[in-house]
Amino acid sequence: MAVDGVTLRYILYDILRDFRQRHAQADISEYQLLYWILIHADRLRKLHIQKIDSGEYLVIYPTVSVVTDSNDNKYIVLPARIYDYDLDKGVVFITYDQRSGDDNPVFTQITFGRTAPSKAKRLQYREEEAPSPDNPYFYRVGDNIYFLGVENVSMPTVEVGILQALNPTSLTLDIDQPFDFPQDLVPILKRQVLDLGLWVLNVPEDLRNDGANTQSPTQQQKFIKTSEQTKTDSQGNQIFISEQQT
Amino acid sequence: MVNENSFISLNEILADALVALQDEDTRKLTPGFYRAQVRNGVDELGFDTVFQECPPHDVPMPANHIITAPANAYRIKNIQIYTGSPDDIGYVQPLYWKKGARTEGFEKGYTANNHPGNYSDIYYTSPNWGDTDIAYFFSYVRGNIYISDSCDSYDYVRIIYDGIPSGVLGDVKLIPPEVRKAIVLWVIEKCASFLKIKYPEYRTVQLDAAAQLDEYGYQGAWHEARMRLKYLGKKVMRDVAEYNTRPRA
Repeated sequence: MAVDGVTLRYILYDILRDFRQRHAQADISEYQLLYWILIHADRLRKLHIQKIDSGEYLVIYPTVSVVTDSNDNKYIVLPARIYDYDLDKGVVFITYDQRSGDDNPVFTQITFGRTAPSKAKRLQYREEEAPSPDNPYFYRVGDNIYFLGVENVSMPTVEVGILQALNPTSLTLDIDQPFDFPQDLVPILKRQVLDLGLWVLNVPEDLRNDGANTQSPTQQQKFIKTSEQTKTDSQGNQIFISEQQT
Repeated sequence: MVNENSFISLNEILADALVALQDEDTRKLTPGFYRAQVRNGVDELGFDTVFQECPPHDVPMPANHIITAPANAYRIKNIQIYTGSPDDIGYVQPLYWKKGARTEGFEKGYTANNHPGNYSDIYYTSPNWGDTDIAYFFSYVRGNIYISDSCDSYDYVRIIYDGIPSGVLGDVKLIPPEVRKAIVLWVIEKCASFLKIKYPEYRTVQLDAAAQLDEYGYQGAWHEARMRLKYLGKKVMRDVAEYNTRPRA
């Protein structure tokens, strides 16, 4: 979680101002723009985490309650939505929540290995890989994380480290808090949101349903590409200028 | 000859291999799978050369003269029978392997082409190396050692053997440091070969490790490890040389 840095409000009104410079009558609400920002930010953030080996976006939940279902399978419900990475790498680790005598975190000793329902059978073939309390496994089914090897172990809670995704529909989002997003990617985020917004605002005329006869023999589709350039105004502020290329 | 306190453990091999394979979170393969590969590598090296000296296995002479080979034994080096007990050994007699001998145990007789009861065969005749009634021999079938009847007057059987190293390889430090490089490379090569189908970049890792290992040649860490293990200590070498060059009567 970022302790300082740019807030969502900065980004939101920065982009909104740019839209209104280009389309003064644009009917884009703050909520819609916030949604656009968050879905693009979520995607960029996912790619960033995948690329950069850093603990910046690791969130640790020290005590997540373990539930037992009607078939005696132990599982937890993920405390938040995670990024859907290959090999379930959105779950960074799961470990017992009890500290050992030397006070090192338990994740330095036993962590749950990752498996999948279709692969778990093979684990039984070899003693070294068989699920056990010393060699436990997890597998993901939607928002639930099931465990193997701990069926006979009393385990009320586990410690979980996850790569938590942004929630574009959060009702409790405080846009005046530092935005949990790599600040070096803010220009790319802004560019992507502007691209989306300007594309929406510049829908070609022939895609609008105005009731006109469009049964011409050769109807050509116009694609409009937008790009921005910056220049400095008389007060020294940097402003964006959109250009249209047909 | 390295002091066993200097030996390294399975986990120390993994610590190197996992970094080379860029799978420190053991997400691509399971931790148990990696551990199994270390065991396999240690076993392979153990089959190629004397890897682990096992202490002698002493067994009281069983009533049926059938002994199950020690767990993890894969190469019997010697069998002796003796009177007394392991801490007070008396008379010692080597046991010899008899080809084709098959028996169901003590005083049940045995079959073999070369048999004292065989007088008429045109190829085999009675052995002429002594009184076959007091022949001290054994046969070996499917992990069982069958000892001849005439050994009955002895109290113990001592089996000297090479063990499969991984049989006792756990968290205990049992890997000599001079073979560390070979085992690490062996594990990297094998794991990379398993990973390369899904992650083609591991093909390069595998080729690099295989080139450095050269398991079937003489230019890599595998051969180097075998040579290191076979190398005798200076003292042993000098004594062997002195023994072999002693003046003969």
